[in-house]
Amino acid sequence: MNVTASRERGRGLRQTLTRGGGVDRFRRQPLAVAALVFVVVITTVCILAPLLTPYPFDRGVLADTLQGPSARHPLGTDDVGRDVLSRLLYGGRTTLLAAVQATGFSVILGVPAGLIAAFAGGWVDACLSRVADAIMTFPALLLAVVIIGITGPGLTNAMIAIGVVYGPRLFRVARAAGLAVLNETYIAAAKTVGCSPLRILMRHILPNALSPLLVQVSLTMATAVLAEGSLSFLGLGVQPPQSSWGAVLGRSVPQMSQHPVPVIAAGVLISLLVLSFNLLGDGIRDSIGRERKS
Amino acid sequence: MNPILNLERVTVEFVRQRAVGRPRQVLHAVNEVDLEIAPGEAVGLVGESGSGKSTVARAITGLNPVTSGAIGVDGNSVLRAKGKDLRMLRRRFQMVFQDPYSSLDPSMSIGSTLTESLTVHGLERGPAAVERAADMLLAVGLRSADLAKYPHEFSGGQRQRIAIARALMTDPDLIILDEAVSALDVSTRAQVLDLLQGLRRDRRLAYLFIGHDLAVVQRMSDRIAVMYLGRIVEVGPADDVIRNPQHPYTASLLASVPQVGSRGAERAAELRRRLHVRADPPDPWNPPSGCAFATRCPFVMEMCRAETPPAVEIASEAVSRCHLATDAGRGTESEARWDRAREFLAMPSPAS
Repeated sequence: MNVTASRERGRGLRQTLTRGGGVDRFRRQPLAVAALVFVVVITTVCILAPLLTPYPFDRGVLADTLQGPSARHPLGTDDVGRDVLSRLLYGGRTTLLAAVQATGFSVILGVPAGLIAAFAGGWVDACLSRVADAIMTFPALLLAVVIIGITGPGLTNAMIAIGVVYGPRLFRVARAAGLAVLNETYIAAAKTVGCSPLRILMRHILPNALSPLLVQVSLTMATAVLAEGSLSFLGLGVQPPQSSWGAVLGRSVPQMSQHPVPVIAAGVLISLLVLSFNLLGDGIRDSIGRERKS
Repeated sequence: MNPILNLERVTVEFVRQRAVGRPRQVLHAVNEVDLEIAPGEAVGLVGESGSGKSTVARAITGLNPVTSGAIGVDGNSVLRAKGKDLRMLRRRFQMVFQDPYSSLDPSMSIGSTLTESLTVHGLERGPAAVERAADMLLAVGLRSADLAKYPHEFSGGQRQRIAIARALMTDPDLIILDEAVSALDVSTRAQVLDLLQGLRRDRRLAYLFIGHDLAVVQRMSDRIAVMYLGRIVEVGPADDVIRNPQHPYTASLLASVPQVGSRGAERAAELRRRLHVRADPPDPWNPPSGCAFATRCPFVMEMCRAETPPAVEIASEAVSRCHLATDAGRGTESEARWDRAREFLAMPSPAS
C-alpha cells in the first residue's frame, strides 16, 4: 500500500471513530469555515450594536452632514449627519431579523408540509405538490411589493410574502429528503417496533432529513438578505429613521459620486453576507451525504 | 398446543399498470400461504430471491398490506386490528432485518433505539427503561457503555446484535429473522447464530428464520417451509426436508448448493446432473398456468402445466404441493416418468 492510500485510510478510520464525521469534513473546508465565522461575527456585532456604537442610529448632528471617513466617524456621516458605521451596525439587526423572519416562515410553511407529503404519499402528496408548484410561479419580490402596496410599507409583511414564495423550495427539499429516508430499513423497523406515524415523522424522519434542509435554509437566508436589501433600497422596506443595509445603501446612492464610502460599505456587507450564506450552504452540503454509509 | 402465529390462505398482491390504457397486472407475491408457528418453535423459510419469503415477513409485521386470508395471533386477527390495538399485537412479533447498516436509525443513540419500544408501548420509562436496555445489551454480548454510542461506531455483527436486542425489548413471542445473518461474514455469522440459539433456549422464543443458506436454515429450524413463486411448495421437519426433499424444487434447490468436502458429494453430483434447473424463473407478473415450477421441473408431466397441484400431506406434519405426491400421475401416459421421478426422489409409495 502506498503512502497516500494509507493516509487516506487513516483519515477514513479517524472519520468513523470521531462522532459526527460531518463536522470534521466541514472543518476541512476553509471557505465554508470563513463564511461561518463571518456570519457569526456579523450577527454578534449587530446584536451588540448598542454597546459598541457611541452614536444613536436615528439622530444626526446637522453640522456634520456628509463627512468623509475620519477618526470620529470611520465610515463618515450621511446626509442628515448620522454616523454611517452605527447605522450599518443597527441596520444589520434589521437585515438579519428580516432574513430570519422570511426563512423561518418558509421553514414553518415548507418543512412540515414536505415531510407530510413524503410520508402520506398518494393524493395528499399530489395536492401539496401542486400547491407548492403554484406558489413557486410567483415572483417573490413582485409579490412582496404588491403586499406592501396593500398593507403599506413595513418589513414584516414583506418578509412573510418572501417567506411564502420561498416556502415551496423548502417543501421540495423536505419532501425529497423525507422520501429518501422513508425507504431506509430503520423506518420499517420503527413501524414493526410499534411507533405511531407521528413519532416516526418527528423522531426518525425529521432528524435524518435535517442536513439537506440546513443547506436550503442557508441558501434561503442569502436570498432573503438580498430581498430585504432590494425592498429597503427602493424605500419599500424599513422606514426612516429605522436603518437596514438596504436603507443605508438607498439613502447614500444620490451622493455616491462625492461620498462613495457608505455605498461601498453597505454594498460590500450585503454582498459578503449573501456570499457567506451561500458558501455556508455549499459547505454543509459537501460535509453530508457520505455520512449514511460510514 | 395453540399456535402463536397462524397464517391462513394469506395472499399479498401487488398491482401495476404499465401505461394508461394497458390492462392492470396483478402479481401474487404471496399466494394462499398457510403456516402455523407453535410457541418456541423455529420455522425456516427458504426459496430463491423473488419467491415471496420477505413479503411473508412483511405481511406478518404489517409492512405490506394483505390482500386476503387471515393472520391470527392467539385467536386475534391481526388484519382486523387497527391503530393502537394493532401496535399492541405487533409487540408480540418483532423483526430483525437483513442489512444491519440501514436498520438502525443513524441519528439515534443505541440507548434511545432500545428504549423507544418500551416508551412506545408504555411499558417502562426513564431510568428503569435504560436499565432494561442495558441488560438487553449484555444479553446480546455488548457492554452497557455502548448505550451512549451511535450505530456508525459499530461493526456489522455488533449492529445485528443491537437489532436483535431491539427486537427483544418488547418481550416478543416470535422473532422474524429476515435474512438476518446473510449480510454478515462467516465468522461473525456463526457467533450471531449461536447467540440466536441461546436466546431461543433461554426465552422460549419462536423464530421464523428466513434465509437462502440451506445449511444455516437447517441448523436453526425445527421445520422448514420452501417457497416458490409465492407459494409454499413443501413443508416438513427440517432434517427430512434437507435430507430427503419430496418436492422437485426443493431437491433442485439443494442440488444447486455447492458442496464443501466430499461428504455426500456423489449424491450431490447426481442430483445436480438430474436436477439442473433449466431456464430462469418465470416472470412473476405472468406466471405459468398449472404448477408454477412446471417450466423448470426436470420431472414435468402434462398435467403439471394444466392443473395447480394441491397441498398433499405426505407424512405427519409434512406437506408437498406436487402432482408426484398424489396418485394423479398413475395410469396416464406419463406413468413411467412419474415412477422414475418418485424413485429418484425416494418417495414412499402412496397409499392407494
